[in-house]
Amino acid sequence: MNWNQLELNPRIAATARRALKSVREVLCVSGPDLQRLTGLSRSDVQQLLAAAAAACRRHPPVPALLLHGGQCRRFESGLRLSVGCPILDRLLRGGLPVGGVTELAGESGAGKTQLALQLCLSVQYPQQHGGLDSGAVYICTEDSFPIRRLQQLIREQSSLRLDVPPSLINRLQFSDHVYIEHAADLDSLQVCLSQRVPLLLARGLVRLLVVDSVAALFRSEFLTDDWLERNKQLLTLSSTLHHLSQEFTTPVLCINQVTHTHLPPSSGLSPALGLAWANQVMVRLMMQRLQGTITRGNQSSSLRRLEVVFAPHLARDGQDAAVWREGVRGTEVSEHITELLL
Amino acid sequence: MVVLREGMCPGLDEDLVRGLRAADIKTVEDLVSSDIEELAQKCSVSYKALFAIRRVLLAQHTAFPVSGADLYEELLSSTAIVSTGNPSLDKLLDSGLYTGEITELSGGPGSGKSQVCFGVAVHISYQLKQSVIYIDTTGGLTASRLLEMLQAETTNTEEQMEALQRIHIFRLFDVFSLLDCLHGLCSGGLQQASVGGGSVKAVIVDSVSAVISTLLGGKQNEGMSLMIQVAGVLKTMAKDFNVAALVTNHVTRGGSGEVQPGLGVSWSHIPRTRVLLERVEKAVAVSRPGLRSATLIKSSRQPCHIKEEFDLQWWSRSKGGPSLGKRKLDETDS
Amino acid sequence: MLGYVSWRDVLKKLTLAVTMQRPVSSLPLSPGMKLKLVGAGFQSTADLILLKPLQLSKETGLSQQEALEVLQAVRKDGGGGEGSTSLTALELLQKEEETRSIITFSSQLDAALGGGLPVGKTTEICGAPGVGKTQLCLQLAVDVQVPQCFGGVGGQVIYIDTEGSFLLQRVIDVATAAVRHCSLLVEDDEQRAAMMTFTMETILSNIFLVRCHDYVELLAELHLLPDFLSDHPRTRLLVIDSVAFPFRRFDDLSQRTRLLQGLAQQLVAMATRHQVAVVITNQMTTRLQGNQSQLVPALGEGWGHAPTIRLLLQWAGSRRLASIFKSPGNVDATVQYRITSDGFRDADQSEQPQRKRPRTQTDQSASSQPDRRLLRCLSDV
Repeated sequence: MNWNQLELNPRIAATARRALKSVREVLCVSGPDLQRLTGLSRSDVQQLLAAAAAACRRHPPVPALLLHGGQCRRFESGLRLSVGCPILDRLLRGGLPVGGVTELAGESGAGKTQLALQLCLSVQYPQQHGGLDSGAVYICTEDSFPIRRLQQLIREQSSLRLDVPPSLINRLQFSDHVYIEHAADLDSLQVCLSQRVPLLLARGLVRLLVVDSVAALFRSEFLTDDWLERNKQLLTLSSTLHHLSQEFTTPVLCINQVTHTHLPPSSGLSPALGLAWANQVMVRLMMQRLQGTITRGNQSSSLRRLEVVFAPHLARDGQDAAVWREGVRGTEVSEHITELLL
Repeated sequence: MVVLREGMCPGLDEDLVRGLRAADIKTVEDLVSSDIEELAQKCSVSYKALFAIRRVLLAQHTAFPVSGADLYEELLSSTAIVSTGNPSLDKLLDSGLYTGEITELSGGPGSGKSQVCFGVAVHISYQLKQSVIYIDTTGGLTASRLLEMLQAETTNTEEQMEALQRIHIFRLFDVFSLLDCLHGLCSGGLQQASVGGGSVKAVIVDSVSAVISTLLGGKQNEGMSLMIQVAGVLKTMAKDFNVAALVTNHVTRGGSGEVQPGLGVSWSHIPRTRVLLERVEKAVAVSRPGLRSATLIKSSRQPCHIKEEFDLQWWSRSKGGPSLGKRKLDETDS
Repeated sequence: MLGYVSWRDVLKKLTLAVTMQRPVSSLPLSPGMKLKLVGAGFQSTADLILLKPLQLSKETGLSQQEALEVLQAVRKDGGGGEGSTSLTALELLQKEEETRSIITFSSQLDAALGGGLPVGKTTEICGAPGVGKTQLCLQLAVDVQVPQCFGGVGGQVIYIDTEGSFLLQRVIDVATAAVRHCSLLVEDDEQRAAMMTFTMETILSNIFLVRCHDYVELLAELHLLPDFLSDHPRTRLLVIDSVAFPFRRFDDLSQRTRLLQGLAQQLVAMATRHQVAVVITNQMTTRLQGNQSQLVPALGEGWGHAPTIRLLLQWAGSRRLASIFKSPGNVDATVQYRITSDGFRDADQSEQPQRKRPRTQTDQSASSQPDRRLLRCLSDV
């Protein structure tokens, strides 16, 4: 933001520029102190404040009805990224919202990474097939990227996505549009998120950001006594993620581990990183492994459950699911019964 | 450093002021410290006239020596003690709010500061039949709550309405409006408010920290000067008009988690009496959510750190049940 | 020369004369200007009141425009606090009785709040993630539009979303449910006519959305809001969901406290001057005290004073509870609620841990409106 862009008497702008570092700073200084710093009169300071405020705000208030008609590009709150399975999409009312951080928490082996990989592919479909017509960036912080599983998923796409014409699936070069990053510690993650990822997003090469997982970095790097420092780092990370998501209307999926606590509402198992992290999450999903297996043809999978813990637009609900060769799918009731008979 | 103006005293007319100014005499200080004889020649005025002017100005602008005995007499004749209406608080404050002084209530959110202010306002307007100025800077004043407290005192609607009319409310939200208002009260507003009711016995500012703390903090020091301005005008108002000033303050948490009143050290010298209000966090509180404790943390009359418990319900108790407060008092005595 | 006048009377008169004079340093002028004034010997407003701008500028070295400003500030003071006219508690009471509150669609919460969310006050909703803060905000954004003949306030709403959690899908759910609800209550022609303009589309068109990405944008928006409110006099609700989000990451805590206090004063001023209910949400944070950790609202102790009413949403097992933590007009109370697909509603159980204050005249007059009571009854259908 530039001083010259202010709709303001040039005399006032020039005086203010000498005393203050940036236009944004105008709004962070109290009125009397603005007078002291600039030596401007009270009415001049009022003009300065009004001009700075007008320059700092992005848009005037918009009636929500315009969003409804899709006439407002800044707010695409109706847009969703499909998970690639109609049953799970129904649970999520269409998929992941494109603005905001979605968290997927669960024990190891619950199927979190499976779902994340599936999203990296479904994002590449055009919008009429639930995608966002763009690629994905996948940041690994603990294990190496499961490249073989991704390739398997790509091969099996046509059996997962029966709704999409096979010719379209064949045309998409899935593996070219999944950008993989490794970040072993917080500093390298921060570098990645502040430099490479914004570049990819700005160029339109990707429109999904996956961090697998957030908890790993915080578990290994901090002991209990630097609690405050840990909280600060968590806030920095979460606000960076949030900012990227809002700025580029891009879904952000964070995979998280679980711990045993008694924090409501789900006492017993709850996502790691505590309240400081949870406050910054918009949609919290949990995945868990249930007792029992389910078979289909020559494949068998242990039964999973995807649960909505909270989300502004979703009811607290859950859906049983299973992990097949072609990906994660919700299970219909009839399938469920066969599982019970086993 | 008072500028010389025409009409300040007899003989000081426009021509003379201009003449003095030409001789580089601008202020009273300049005039009294100058050589009158020389000045008389310079400005071609009579020595006698100039001498007379100097005497008057000296009389007007010097401090008067006052003996302690006179001061005490003055104090006795003018100071009044205004009951808060709540026996526990009165006990803590050595029988109530003293006129001519600033009393401060501090406490965390929900500790009952505003409720006590309401109670005091209602007590003064109804029981003492005097006027109250209530300056609300937080938007917390709810007239229906005042009415509710009055309904506990009397069922007579006429009396309730009269009492409500004796509470004058200013709602302002920045420090300059507060200063404007306080100065306005000093120069006539207080007398105006007294018309039609008793005289103004208390000025309540709820809260003083809300308007000042927006200016404090960081590297900025303009807020400090404005805070001292507010303190100054409150003090002179309390003294010269013999009203009790009751202000509320927020609390901050020190490094080790202990609670202390906000606005820092400079402000801590302003109120003569400071009371800290806190919620009572114990088993009793479940059945009596209105229970609060008040601790005296600064006083020139009572030993500090006296603690009293009281119930916010006191002011809205039903008429038949003043025994509640009495029992309270006994409890704290034992 | 002083004759026989007692010294005490003189003292009294003189001190009075001094207090009548307002010191120049308390005027809303820039410190540089005050310095020039005091340097030239002008200490109180009485020294200035008779001067002309030209004269003043000559004597102090201020520019003519500055001198003019000084004199304007001095004269404005003369009227005994202009712009801040006083009213008596009786007048305020009459005003309060004229303004209706915004119903929450939970009759129990309405009762605990003395008829609903008060217009002209600031209310903070705090709670852990997922407990229903945003749900209550969205519900209120729809409720404020309930036509007057149904006991609502028929207003518009400005909704500042800092978290990105304003999802249209959910607003449509809540709005549709509210429309359906009111259409079941229609009894007379007036209400039938009102339903024509109480549809999902009109509800959406009366919600003005602002998205703020950081605290500077939020401060900028609040600075411009008074103009918006003057242009849209029907606005009765301002929602900020949440105020904590943009302010959580802040290095200079004293700067944060100051900015938040300033924001709070702006909100109170808007609520009072434009007759708007202000609702802000806040996150919870863990405070360590010794070995015990405790859940407390975020943004620090100082911020706790900012809202007039503080509403705490919390989990008790699988039940959701709303507690009034502070409210100058009401006694602390706790009620149970639930979040349904239609929005924020009463809990099923009739048993409630509730403490009501004795009903006052105001309460009775508010609840004696038949429409309103009907609406309440049906809100748990």
